Parts: sequence; C-alpha cells; structure tokens
Amino acid sequence: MQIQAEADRTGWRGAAFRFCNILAILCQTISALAIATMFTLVCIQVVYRYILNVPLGWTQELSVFSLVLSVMFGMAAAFWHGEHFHVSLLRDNLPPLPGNILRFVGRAATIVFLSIVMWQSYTLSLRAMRQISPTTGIPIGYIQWFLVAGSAAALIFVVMRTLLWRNVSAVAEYEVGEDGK
Amino acid sequence: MITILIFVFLGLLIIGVPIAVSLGAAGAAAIYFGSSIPLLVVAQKMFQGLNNFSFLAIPLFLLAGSLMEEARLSERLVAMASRLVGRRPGALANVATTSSAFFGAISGSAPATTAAVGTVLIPSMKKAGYSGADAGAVVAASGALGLIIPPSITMVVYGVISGVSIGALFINGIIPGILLTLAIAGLNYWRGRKRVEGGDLAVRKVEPYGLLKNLIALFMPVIIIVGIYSGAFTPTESAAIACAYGLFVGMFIYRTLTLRGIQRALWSTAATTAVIMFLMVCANIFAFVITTERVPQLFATWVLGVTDNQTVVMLMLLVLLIFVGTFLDNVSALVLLVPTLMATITAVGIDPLYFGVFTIIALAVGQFTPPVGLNLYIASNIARESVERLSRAVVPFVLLYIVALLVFIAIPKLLTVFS
Repeated sequence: MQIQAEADRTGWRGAAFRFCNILAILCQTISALAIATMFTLVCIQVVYRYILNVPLGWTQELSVFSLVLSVMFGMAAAFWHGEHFHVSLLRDNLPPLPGNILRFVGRAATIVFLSIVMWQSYTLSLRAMRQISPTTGIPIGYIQWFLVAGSAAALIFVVMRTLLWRNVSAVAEYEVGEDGK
Repeated sequence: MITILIFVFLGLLIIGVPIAVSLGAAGAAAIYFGSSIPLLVVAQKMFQGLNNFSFLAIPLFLLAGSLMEEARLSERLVAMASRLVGRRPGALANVATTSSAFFGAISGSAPATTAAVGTVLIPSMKKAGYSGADAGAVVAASGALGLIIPPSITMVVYGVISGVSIGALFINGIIPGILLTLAIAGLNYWRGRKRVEGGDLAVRKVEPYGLLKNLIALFMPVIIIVGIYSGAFTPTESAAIACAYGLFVGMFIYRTLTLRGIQRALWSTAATTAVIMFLMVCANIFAFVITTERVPQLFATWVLGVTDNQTVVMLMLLVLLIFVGTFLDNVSALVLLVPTLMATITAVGIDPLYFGVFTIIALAVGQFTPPVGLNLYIASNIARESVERLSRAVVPFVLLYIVALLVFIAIPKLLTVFS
C-alpha cells in the first residue's frame, strides 16, 4: 500500500497513520473472514438440502448477517485506501488551491453523511432489540450494530484523511477500485 | 424533494465525492429538507438493502473468479486459444480475444480479464510487431467481453435490482457474447491481413498442457449456468458450488492454488464486494426518494408522450446508456438508471430480460473508453503506452460494439434466444 510509507513518519501524524493502517487491516480481516464464513454456511446449506434432504434455516440467516458484517467493515477500509468509485475529472483538472477546496468540501459532505448513518443506525438498533430473527433467535438490533461500527470506522478514516491531507495528498487519493464491474 | 436530490447528487458527484456517498447524501438531504419523513429511514433502507439472501450471489461469484485467477489460469487459457486461432492473420490479436472470452467465462469481471490476458499477451504482441496502442486496444476491447459472457457480476447486479431471473440473464448472454467475440475476431483478421507476425513468440512457448485439463476450468461456467437454469440451485447456491469447484480444481487438479492464494482471493473479494454493495445500499436511499416522488412513472409518461415505438425508445436508451457508461462504472450506472427506466420499459412493452442483456452490452463500451474505462488504463499500463494513443486505437472497437448494439435493436430475438 502506498499509504504504508506514510506510516513511517514520526510525531502524531505517524502515530495517526499507524493507527489507521492497523484499524484498516482489522476491518479487512473481519470482512474477509465474514466472506469465508458466508461461503462455508452456503455450502453447508447445499449439502443439507440436496444431499441429506434436511433444509436448514439458520445457515441462510447467518450467511446474510455475515454479508452485512463483511460489507460494513470492508467499505470502511475502502475509505482509508480510497477504493470507492468516484468521478475526479473536474478536481484533477483544477489548480491545487481550488482542487483542495473541492476535496475539503467533498470530505465534509462524506463526514456528515457517515455521521447520519452512524447515529440513525444506532437509533434503529435500539428499536430493533426486541425484534428476534426467526431461526437463530438473535436480536436484529445486534446485527444493526454492524452498521454503527462500520460507519464509525469509516468516519474515523475520512476524518483522519482530512486532518492528514498534506501527507495523504502526496499519494494517489481515491484511486479507482480494482473491480470495476 | 426531487430538485434537492438531483442538485445534491450532481454537485457531490462532480466534486469527486465517492458515488455511493453522493447517492446516499443526496437521498438523505432530499428526505431531510424536502419532506417530513424522519432520517431514520436512511438507516432502515441501508439495512434492508443488505439484509437480502439473493445479494450473497455477488461475493460468492467474485470469490469463484478470484480463486480461478489465483490458480493462474490465464496462461492455460492463452495456450488453448493459441492452439485454436493462432495460425491465421491477426493471430495474436485473435488469441487475445479468444482468451478473453474464455477468461471472462470464468472470472466474470472485465478488468480482471484485461489484466490477466494483457499481462501474458501484450508483451508478445509488441514483439510480434503490433504497436503498443494496437495491442492494448485489442486487449481492452476484448476484456469487456468479461462483462457479457456469463457468469457476469454485472448481470447478477442487474438481476437483483430489476427482479429479472439471473439464470435467464446468464443463458441469454451466451449468444451475444459469442457474436461479439466473432465480430472482434473478424475485425482483428481484417486488420491483421498485411501484418507479418514474428515467429518466436513467448506465447507459443507456453506449455500447451492437456486439452482436457484446460477444459476442466471452463467447466465451471457450465455448472453455474446449468445449475441455475435447470432450477436445481439458486444463483447464490450455484455461486457457492462454483467456489467449491474452483478450490478443488485449483488445489488438487492444477495444484497452483496455495493457501496464500486463497487468502489473497478472500481479501480481494471482500474489498470488491464492499465497494459494490455499499454503492447498491446507498442507491437504495436514492431509489426510495425517486419512487416516493413517482419519478419512474413520470419519466415513462414523458417518453410515451414522445413516442411509443419500441425501436425509437431503444435508440434513445442506447444514447443514454453509452453516455452514462462513459462517465460512470457499470454498477453505478445500473443502480442509478435501472429503477428509473424499468417503468418506461414495461410501459412500452420491452422485455426486461432483453433490456438487461442490452444494457450490459451498452455499458461494456464504457469499460474501454475514456475518461473512466478501467480496461483502457490497465491495458495502457501493461503496454506502456499513453492513454491518449490507446483511446484513438480503440475507436474501431467502439464502433464495432455500437454496430452490434444497433443489430440487437433491429433483431431483439438475438438477446432472448433461450427465453
């Protein structure tokens, strides 16, 4: 990662970079493990339904919960690595000052949006604590905490990128994602 | 509400805010400033968007493709394509196109196809006398076949958004995929008639492997398509079986898939899934405002006021899709356009299945055109050629795709042969 090089700097900026890198690795690991869990659960479901002729309900619920976990933590890490799809035509063709102003405005809008998601997901999760999933018996409110935690992590990444913009501007920002599909 | 939605969305999009955030923030702003609906609906729509079993097909198809990539399949597929078409004019260009068709059938991703095939073939093509721009253009345009030939992640996304059967989309993507492969091959042949290609090519040194062993990899899309279309498995289950098959083939038959490779495949799948799904989830907020304001119905009424001729409507939509696909990646274009256009399609009497396959082909053009065509940048990087020169070299392929789309408008049955 290009951002890794920035983490070697000393002082609070270096510490902040190291913290964000570790947090991003943690988010990516959780996201990847959730994908592995999802794959395993769907395979178990296929074996039980088609080979043993015993349809399972809990595998389907848990695999969907794994998807929520994977997406929310993965999208947070993608904010740190600048992997979300974006259109940077205008910003790339502007002189540095107006380009940086636009970048700052964009970051501010992202921070406001992620704050709304975090707060509203928290409110929603409190309301959904009494709503129990049919087969696993897990309160849906706990699953909605994945939204709160994911958006909180994303918020940290965007705020840090804004605070450390002088360092981050040295590396390619908001690179295009690898998938493109 | 709708004015706020459009202004905020376009404003944020233009200044470079991630498209997912632009969609979500525009929806939140429209709800907050333009209605009395509480903002809690933002979180509700996001959770509803994720809490869906059919969405599981997306990460599992991505994982199946990543596992096959980690098993280093590209060299095998190039060697097989080289045996098939490697002795005629435009040979290496046609090896690139055929390999892309094979690889697209396994990876389901256009940029992955371009990167995998380009890395093996572009250096050989340059040695054989192709200019960097020509070599890159062939690989970039052929890489877009990964979007059309099933299984395609874009088809899964369209199926999930529109409610059209993913199995039907997959099976009906085969004929246009083959036709476009043949059309590109024909163009390569015509352009390569006077080119004398060097004989000592790295690609021809690639160990040919056994034909049967190579065909084992290509059996994966067959399992997926037959499994879904016969009704034996759901798309999600079919994707999981494809992953299991990929693991088995990579680890025990090719013996090229290592534990480190599986780990890399999981990480890249997680990253790609998160970006695609977050975009779709945020689009759910945007779509909520659009449907609350009855925009799809209003747009359909406006179109029907202009014309109710299916061909004219499809021509109008072709222009719209090419334009949007030029500036947005295909998943963003789908989540933005499909919910709005569905009412129009239905009102005019166009089959949503036909429209789905057509839309995916039209959006494929944006994969290799500037300013956001990812295939173009990947090919440019591998060919060490400027994007400007590559952009000029892809023009014949862009025209070819547009001609093909016009043919598909004139003969709609070509896109729904199996329905």
